[in-house]
Amino acid sequence: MYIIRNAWLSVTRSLSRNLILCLIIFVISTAACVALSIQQSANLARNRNIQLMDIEAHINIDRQYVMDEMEDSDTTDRASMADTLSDLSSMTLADYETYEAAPSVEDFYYSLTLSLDGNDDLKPLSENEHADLTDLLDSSAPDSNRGSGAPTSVDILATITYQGDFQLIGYVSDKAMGDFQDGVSEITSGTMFEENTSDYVCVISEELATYNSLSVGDQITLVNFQNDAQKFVLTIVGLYKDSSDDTTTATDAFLDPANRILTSYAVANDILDRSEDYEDPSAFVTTEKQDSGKYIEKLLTTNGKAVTPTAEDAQTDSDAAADSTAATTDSAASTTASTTASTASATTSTASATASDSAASTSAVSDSTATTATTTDTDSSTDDSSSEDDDDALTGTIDATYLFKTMSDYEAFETQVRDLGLPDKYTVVSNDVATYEASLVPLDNLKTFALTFLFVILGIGGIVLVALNIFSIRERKYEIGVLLAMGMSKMKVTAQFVLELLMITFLSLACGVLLGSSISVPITNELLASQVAQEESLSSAKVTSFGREVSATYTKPKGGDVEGEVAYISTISFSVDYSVLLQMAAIGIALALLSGTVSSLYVMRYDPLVILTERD
Amino acid sequence: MSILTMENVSFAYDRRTPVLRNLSIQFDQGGAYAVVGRSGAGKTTLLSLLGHLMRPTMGNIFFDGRNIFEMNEYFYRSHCVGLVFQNYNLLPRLSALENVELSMNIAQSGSRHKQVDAEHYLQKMGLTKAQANRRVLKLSGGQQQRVAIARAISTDAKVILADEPTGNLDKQTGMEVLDLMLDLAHNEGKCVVIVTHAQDIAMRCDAIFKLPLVNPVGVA
Repeated sequence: MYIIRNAWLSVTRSLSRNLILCLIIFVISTAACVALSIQQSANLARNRNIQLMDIEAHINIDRQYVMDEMEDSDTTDRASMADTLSDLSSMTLADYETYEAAPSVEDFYYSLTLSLDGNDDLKPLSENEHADLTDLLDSSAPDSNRGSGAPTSVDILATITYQGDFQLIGYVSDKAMGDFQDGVSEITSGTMFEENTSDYVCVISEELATYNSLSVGDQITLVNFQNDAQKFVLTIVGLYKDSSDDTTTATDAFLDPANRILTSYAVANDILDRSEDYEDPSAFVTTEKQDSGKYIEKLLTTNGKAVTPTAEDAQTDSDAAADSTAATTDSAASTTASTTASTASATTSTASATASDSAASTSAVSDSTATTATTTDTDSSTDDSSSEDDDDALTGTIDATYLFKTMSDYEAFETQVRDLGLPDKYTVVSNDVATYEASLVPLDNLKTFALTFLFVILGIGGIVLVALNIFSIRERKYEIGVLLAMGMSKMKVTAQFVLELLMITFLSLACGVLLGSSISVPITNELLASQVAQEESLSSAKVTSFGREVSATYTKPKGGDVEGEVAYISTISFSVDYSVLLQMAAIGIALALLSGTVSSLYVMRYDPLVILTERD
Repeated sequence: MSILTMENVSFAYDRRTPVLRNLSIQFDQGGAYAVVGRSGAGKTTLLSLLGHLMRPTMGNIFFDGRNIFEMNEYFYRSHCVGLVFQNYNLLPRLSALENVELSMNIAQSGSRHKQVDAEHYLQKMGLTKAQANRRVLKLSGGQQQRVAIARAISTDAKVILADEPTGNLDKQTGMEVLDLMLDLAHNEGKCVVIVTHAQDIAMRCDAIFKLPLVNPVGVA
């Protein structure tokens, strides 16, 4: 095609005219290339990192949804809203397990958190006056006649929501212990209890151990803060160290991570059951002693670790063989009894006696009973807590976590659980995604900036190009006239002019991309660094104004823990790839066509007579 | 034999300024015609109409019996007529050869040896091979006009329309260029229409039309 040849000759033989055009397009394309690669890097960094990490998600109550619902049904006064909200029960374990069936779930685990007090030998770190108030409450509670006469100070105190000093967290599996998985916490002495063991053992923090002069093998006694008589004895099998640096800021005992006592889900759930069916304090204590004794013995034989049992334990060991049957049946009895809530003590003892005879023969039977009971128990415990306000049994919080391999799995999960029957008042949330989004703030800011920059550059560049082309084409009207007079059609003349522009554009574009791609990485990282600095100074400003870490965006609550600061994505490593090149090509074509339109309009309106009448 | 026929052609830029009025002229093959007249008499307008660069207000022009205004204007300009201008109107960035080749390309000449053909036309107009490969701006005025004539005949057009072809040339060069054009008319059977001011040029043509036209001054 002679048009292409002609266009090429035209471009190469009038370099001075095209040079300024080249220069402008070169600048535009360099800038556009940097902007696009920033965008691209931002997207890639987002996707790549989110693919690399496992996503943990939870199912929570969507309070806003519930409130919206109530507004729709004209229940707008605050009192009834509060009632409805407090009546909202968390999901039961059985519910959680139903949704585990969603195909995108990679893994599922949960923990049960109980709030307990220590006895006189076990004092919490970060203790405050709450403890004294409860002591007062406990000592005077029997004397006060509740519901009759004027409210005493004790009554008022009783209305204060009190939490135990210690958090007893029972994990269903090793995977549920995220801090240990992540290496934030580690065992420094002794060993971790076996996965979901039913032995009454626990792991406590080094700090708590030091504070109470405890060591591996010692026993601790936890008390139901609402009922002093309920005592639970656990044996320490290991000490752990929490290396996250937020442990010292807690102002309340129950907030201090050092006061967390870790055990298995089975144990935590057992304690919950016993607390509900609590009748006879002596039954607990003996059982636990024997259980832990057995466990220590097992540790000694299997691990060969230098764990020295206390004299008391050694003594229990000798009795262990004789009492072990009784221990097993006891636990079976209590769980069986719990299915029929609030029975008289006489019935319980009868049941216990019957159970000991029948279940003693095989441990398998009692095991299966326990499993069935667990599920039912959780139901009844939540029912109890909502319906009977003055029930002093312990209540537990299930923290169930679903694990996903990819972001798309996580996104699919919500639809899947809705199909499985998750009511609308629950919502799927993931702190990982939220935290990750927060870490992307600088990158996103940069992306927005880059996009704006891109549009500005393209806008200004486009205008300049059009203006230049108007001048250029006016200069060439003589040429157009000649071509038309020679019988070249206006279409072909236009095609030639657009072709010339395309050639110039792509030549300059190629240079622009070369330069742009080589400078985009340092430029992006430079900009990102300043963004991160800005974001960090913002966050430290917030800390100053709050006087503590601001939890909304900058911390990651997980299992009651408060993790450290967000690690911002502060560098990118790659910039230009084929999609950027494609976008650049699209920009090039758009620019060429835009300025080509000017040429076309001019040519189309052109009258070749002009060259005949102008004879200079 | 008539190749180009004007039938009652009138042209006015607007109602109050008629330029051409009811003009009927026959141009024959092998004839060289001069169109003379004062400035503003409509010489260039006449040429523009013949070249299908403008349309007449009334009347028609026939090329070889076909109404040119019913033909594709680009086809007509590229195949039927060749235009030669006072200021040559060559493309300055191209060499003489490329200018001629481009014209052949536009006419979609079927020749497989366009370059050879183009060289041949230029040679016929008296340009050497070295001159043919020079950029046209490096050539003298006379040489440029020769290139323009070569370009005009390169498409085998039967009609050459020349607008003051010697206007920018000195007398001797002008005469040489005129000789070339007369030669094309008399020896190659082209129809050559020359618009000119110069009396001596006009006198050498076969017929002279003086605008505003009352009667043809002479017929071949």
